Formats: sequence, structure tokens, C-alpha cells
Amino acid sequence: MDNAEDEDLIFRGLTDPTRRAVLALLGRDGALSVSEISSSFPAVGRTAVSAHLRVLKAAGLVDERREGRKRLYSLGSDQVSAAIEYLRQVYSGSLAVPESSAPEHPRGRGRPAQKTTSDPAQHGIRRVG
Amino acid sequence: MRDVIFANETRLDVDIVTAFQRFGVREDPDAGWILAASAASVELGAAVELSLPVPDLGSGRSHVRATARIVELTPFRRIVLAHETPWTGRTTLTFSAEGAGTVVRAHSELSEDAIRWVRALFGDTGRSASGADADVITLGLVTSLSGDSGFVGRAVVNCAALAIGEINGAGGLAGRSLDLHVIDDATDPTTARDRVRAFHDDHPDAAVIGMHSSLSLQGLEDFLAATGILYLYVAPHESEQRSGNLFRLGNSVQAQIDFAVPEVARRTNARRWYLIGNDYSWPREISRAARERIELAGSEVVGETYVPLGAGISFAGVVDEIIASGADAVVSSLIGYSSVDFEREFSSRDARARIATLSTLMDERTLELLGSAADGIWSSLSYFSNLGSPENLRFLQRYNDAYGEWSPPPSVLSAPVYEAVHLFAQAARRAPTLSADDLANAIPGLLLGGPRGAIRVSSEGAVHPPMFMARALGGKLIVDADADAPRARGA
Repeated sequence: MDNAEDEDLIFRGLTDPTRRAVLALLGRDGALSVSEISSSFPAVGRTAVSAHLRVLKAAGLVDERREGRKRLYSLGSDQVSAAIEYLRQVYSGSLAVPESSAPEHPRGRGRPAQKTTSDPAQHGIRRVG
Repeated sequence: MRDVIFANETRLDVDIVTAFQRFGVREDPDAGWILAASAASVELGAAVELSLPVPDLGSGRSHVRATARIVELTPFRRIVLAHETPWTGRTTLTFSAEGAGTVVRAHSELSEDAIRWVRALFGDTGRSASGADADVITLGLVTSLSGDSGFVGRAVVNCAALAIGEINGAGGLAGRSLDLHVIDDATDPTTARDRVRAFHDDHPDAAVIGMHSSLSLQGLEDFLAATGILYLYVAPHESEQRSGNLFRLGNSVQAQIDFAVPEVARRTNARRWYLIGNDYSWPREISRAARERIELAGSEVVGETYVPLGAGISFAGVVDEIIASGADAVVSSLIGYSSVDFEREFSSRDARARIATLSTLMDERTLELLGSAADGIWSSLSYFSNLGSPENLRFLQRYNDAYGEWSPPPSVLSAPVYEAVHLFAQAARRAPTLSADDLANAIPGLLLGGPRGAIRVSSEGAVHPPMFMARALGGKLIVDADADAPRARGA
């Protein structure tokens, strides 16, 4: 998980209330099949739930495994990495000009002259103690 | 223990003095660019609001309001921010002149709770596979580290951890140590229910202390009734009842309003009142009780408005309406950022001189975000941090020893948690077992002791703390010597 595309996937995974609810369900109940998940969201429908699961899987937020003929979904096994990517995105945007203010000041009275940089070599996990 | 470190930098086409002075300026839309920080003042110890560019946390907005504090400051060179909510950590900003411009570098070290917080957002409650530890008694703490009341949570966690440190330092409870498990309700009743349920699944015997909105308590009530968890709710509340093993140990609306409205009327001669609050039961009960008092005195209510929690709306139209209504006083039961945003708007229109405000949840923490924009607001609560009682001075000394000079101030929205943890410990020492029922049965008759003095829990499981009147002045809440307070109420 080290490129911008993956970060975007994590954010996409979380932008939808149904996807957040699916994560909460898996966090509570462990591994579930599509039909078990769908039964918790009668208003959403099985096809849409499957689509949500694909987005969550692509973002690494859920894992899929086969058990006989069933596919079981559970929370992604590397949630720590996903969480760190999420935080990195938050902080790498931390020196940016708020988008809402940029168009109001086209001459850039003191706005950052170049895009904020975030060097991958400068961040990482450190174990302490 | 894991730390996460991030570093980045940006170059500005302005000199170093100009660049530095842009930090924390709320009014200039260009200026909020460092974590979109805003501060009532840029000085040591100042509270800072941050707007973190987090896509959609459920509120539909693309930023989450976080809080921090300036803990080191070298003008034009360096600012160190200690993050307080929703997670902890430090961001060091350095400014250096390069050519005609300025390079600003940000170095952030986040604590492990940042990862836990994001994982909870991902649906992962981080339950441990290790199972119950016989040497540990787990105590849950539900409070708000994000959402509309998010800025109160760090002082709440601090107050709970302070009491737990004292209990464990004195040998724990029958040789077992207390272990705190913090749950962020995100100022949202569904989140509160889901996360307390997950906590209960992992720790079926654990008691819970709650300092959060009564809207979240409503989200929990059915679950608490079904499970019989011992739940000590310590925020101001709209009902005096003990419900099974749920104790409401804050002050009641009726006690607060019966004291506060006549006091404000007496000092300001207000006759025409406007009522504003968030749209759930506690604010509506404040307004009901206030209207009763106002009409009893022969005065009138000239308008009433309710706004949803967490809406992040502009209050300009509401302030227009209040001014147009001819009101000479406002009773505000807005909480969290709703209260902050409303009072900022009210102050910016110079309405404070003509229209008195009684804000029913204006504590020291909310006040420090407002700074002088709060000057003149009346507040009536069961605790103010500048109370001069020996119990309070002792408590403040311990709090400062534990968290340092620059930390979120304890208030009525956090200090009672310190008392509740000690109440739990007393009950645990007295009860025959640590079952929820035995603990609950041990609580009536105990003394809730701490910064507010000693308040007895009645045989019905209710408390009636004395109420005080204070006024905001120079960014502080000053307990009013002219008041007839403290006025003990009830039992």
C-alpha cells in the first residue's frame, strides 16, 4: 500500500454509509457470506452489496476466502497498514491550501507556490520501547 | 508501542514574518493552510482547532474538526502542537527563510491511539484474542473524541485516567488493577450503541462510565436495559431517574434552570427571551423548563429554534432572527461546535451588549475555543474550575502534575468522570462481588467525592449537586460572587 491509487481506494471504501455499515457488521460478526451480509441490508439488495464488497476488497478493508461453494468476507487482515495509509493521506494534505479559498485569491497572495510534497522516505513506522 | 511519523514541507512566496503570522488566523481564508489551524490567540497553551482533510467520516463533510494545543513556541521559527482530539501526537512546524520565500516543514509523530481510532472507523474494534485477564478489572469510558462534542473528550479521558492512576497507585481493588478502555461515540447515537455493544461482547462483566450527549444515551438505553450493564452517566441530564443499573449522576435540567433563569433575569432585567438549542431531548427539556420559569415570572418567550447536532450550519440567519425578535435574553442549549459556532456569530454581530445570553453548557473547554468572543455569557453549572474549595484545588494540582501546564482544562464535562471512577472503586470495595447488580446495589448512600466536594448518592440513586453562576470575562469563567450560590438543591 504505497501509492496514491491505493489511498484513493481506502477513501472510496469509506465514503458510502452502506460500506461503513458493512465494515461495522463484519467487525462484530466475523466472517460472513454475501447472503448473510445482504440479509442485514434488505433495502440495499444483494447485487449492490456485492458491488460494495468489491470496493472494500480492492481497498484492502475486507478479505475474501472460499469455503466450499461459499465466499466468506471478513475485515481485512492488515487494517494497521490501511490505517497508517489513511493517516498519511490526512497529514500529507496538511500543508495544502483549502480548496475553497484558492479560487477566491487567484493571484495567490502568499499561497504555497508549489504542491505540498510528501516524500515516502520521510515517513514510516517506528517502534518505540 | 508504535508511533507513526509523517513529514512534509511547502514553500511560500512570502517572507518568514508574514508566513508565521498566517498561522492560526481564522478570518483570512488563505491563512488556515497549516492543518487549517485556527486559534483565538497564538501563544503558549492556546487551544487550536484543526480541520483535517479526511474524506467523509459519516457526516458527509470532507474535513474533521480536530483539536490541539500550542505547547512550544519560538516566534517566527517554530510551533509545536500537541494533538488532543480525536487522537494524540505532536506536530512540529518550522519556518525557514529561503531566498525571498519561506519553507514551512511539518513533522508529525502520532501515538498509537491514532491507529486505533482509524481502525474503529474501519469497523475493527481491535478486540484482543488474549481473553480476560484475572489481574485486571476493565472499566469502559464512553465520551466524544470526534463529532459535534469531540473537543471535550481529551479532558474526559485525562480525568478518568487520573483517578485510575490514583486507585492503582494505592494497590488497586483487592489486588487487581483497573484498566481503562476508551470508546469514542463520535457524538452519534448509532456509533455509541455499536461500539458499546462491541465492548460488551469483549468484556461482558465490565462497568461503563459515560460522559456524552443524552442523545447517545438514548441510543444506548435499550441495550443497557437488556444487558444490565452498570452504567454511570455523569453529564447533565433531563431525567433524575435511576433506570435499573443505569445511574444518571449529573445535574438535572430542572435544578439547573430553576436556579439559572431567575438569576439571569434578576441581573439583566430580561423580559423577552429567545430559546435556541440542538434538536434532541435534553435541549428541548431545557427550553420547556426555561419557558415555565420565564412565564411564571410574567415574562415572555419571543422565539424558539432547534438545529440538528453535527449539521455544521451557518448561524447567521438565526442571529438575524434573534435580533429581529426584540429579545433581550437568549437561553442557549446548543452543545459542542454548534454552541461555538453560534456564539462566534452572535459575538461578531455585536449582539452581546444588547442581548444577554444564558448558555446552559458553557464550560471552560468550550470557552477556550471562543476566547473573548464569549465575554458576557452567563453560565450556570455544578462545577467551575476556578472554585476555590480545598477539594478542587487539590484536584487541580493533581491534574496539572499529571498532564502538565498546557493541557485541556477540566470542566463540568470532564471533572465528574474523576468522581465517578472513584465512586466505582468505592462500590467495588463494598460489594460482595463485582457483578453489575451487586455494584449497583452498593452505590446508593455512597459519597461522590472529588473537585465538587462530597455529594451523596440518594437512596434512589440520584445526586443533587450544588449549582453555581459564572460569567465569561477575558476568556475565563468567573464564578459570580453576587450569586446566592452555591445553592444546594433537593435531598
